[in-house]
Amino acid sequence: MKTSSFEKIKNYLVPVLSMIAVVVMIPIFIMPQLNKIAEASKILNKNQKRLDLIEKKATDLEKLSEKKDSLEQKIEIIEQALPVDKSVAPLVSGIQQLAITSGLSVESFKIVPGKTATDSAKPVSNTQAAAPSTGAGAVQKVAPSSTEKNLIFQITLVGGTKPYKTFLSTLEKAKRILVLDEFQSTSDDGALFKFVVFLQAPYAPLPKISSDQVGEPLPSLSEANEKLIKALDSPEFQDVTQSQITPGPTGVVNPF
Amino acid sequence: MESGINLLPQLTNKEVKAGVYRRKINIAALGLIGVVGLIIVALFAYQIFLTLLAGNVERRTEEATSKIVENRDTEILNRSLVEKAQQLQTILDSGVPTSSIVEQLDLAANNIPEPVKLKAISVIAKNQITVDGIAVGSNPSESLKTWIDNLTSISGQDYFTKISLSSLTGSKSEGYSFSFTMDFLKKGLFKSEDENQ
Repeated sequence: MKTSSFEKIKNYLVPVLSMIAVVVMIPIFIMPQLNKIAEASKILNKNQKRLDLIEKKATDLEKLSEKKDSLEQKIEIIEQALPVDKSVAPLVSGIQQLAITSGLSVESFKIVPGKTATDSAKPVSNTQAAAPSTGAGAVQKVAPSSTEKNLIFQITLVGGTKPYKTFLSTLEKAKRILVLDEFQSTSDDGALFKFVVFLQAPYAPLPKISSDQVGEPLPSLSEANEKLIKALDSPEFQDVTQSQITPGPTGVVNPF
Repeated sequence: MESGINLLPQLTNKEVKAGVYRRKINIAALGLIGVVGLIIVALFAYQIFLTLLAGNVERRTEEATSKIVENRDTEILNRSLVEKAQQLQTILDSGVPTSSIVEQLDLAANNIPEPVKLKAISVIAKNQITVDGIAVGSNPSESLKTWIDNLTSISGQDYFTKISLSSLTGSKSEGYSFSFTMDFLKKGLFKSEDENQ
């Protein structure tokens, strides 16, 4: 009887051992290997996508490098329109000059401080100072203040509506972008007006560099951007901040 | 005729069949081990292939990166240009052409036999306009009516909306002082030639 059982086991030894081997091999070799492959494929796909992107970027950059002169010319135009810093001096003289040539007289010209200004630098009352309109429909509003990327001037001009319109038209087509979308005016006789304008002179520091600058796609100018740069370079836009300020004498002059 | 005796025990048909099955099962079991072994070898080979591929990707990435680094100046220049151009476009697109406001208001006020006098114009919050003025002359009510007609005419409709009278004082003999509020419709300081056409 015992011999018979042993015989039976001996007969099925190979298939049984094979099954045990297969069952053992699947969790020991196959499953971990499949996991490793899945992980490696995932990383590879990610790296491949990044590679495609940076290879395209490298090619585009090489092409762009060949046209570096044109790029520098465009950045010069853009820098004039939206400078890196405030460049206050040419703005003040340029705008005053523009107002005078338009036929307006400049009564006051001041920079509206930002929110971080000290108390002494803040206007006494923004609304009162900037709102000469006394009509029933006049809307009371706090005057705008300079921000990190926007310098605001409060200018008081005196003159007729036609010279004022000329002044605004020229400002709207200034090579150094100036935005005037708020003003208040009053007149006693309907001919001579006093205009209080809030003129924004936006400026923009250089863009921030991202952590993976190499992997960042190369941005390109849109068609509208190209048209704008072309227009800024054309006589359609006037340079109103060109006037040079002659520096005063410095140091000790030899009296002899 | 000579007859012999077979001393070997006769195998039954069942035993023969069982032997054949056993052999087949053994072969199948060994085959299964072989297949599993092959799968394991293939998986290891595929992993080696992936490692080689990853090495190749890494090498090409380094090459492309060095090219990009070589042209770093151009990239910074281009990035600054595009970013600033986009900022500029946004500023110009959101700007209000205030010269048109003054022009249109002036036009509406003077395009009347007895013009109304504008005494205060205010533009706040980009497009909200307040206009104060007086209508005097032989027929001030007619002048005032024409001024409103001019603002709401076909050409005026393109510029002004939500025109509402805030106050009206005076009489026909002394003239009327009025105050209007309205919204300006035009937006954008720059329009390319294509857009203008």
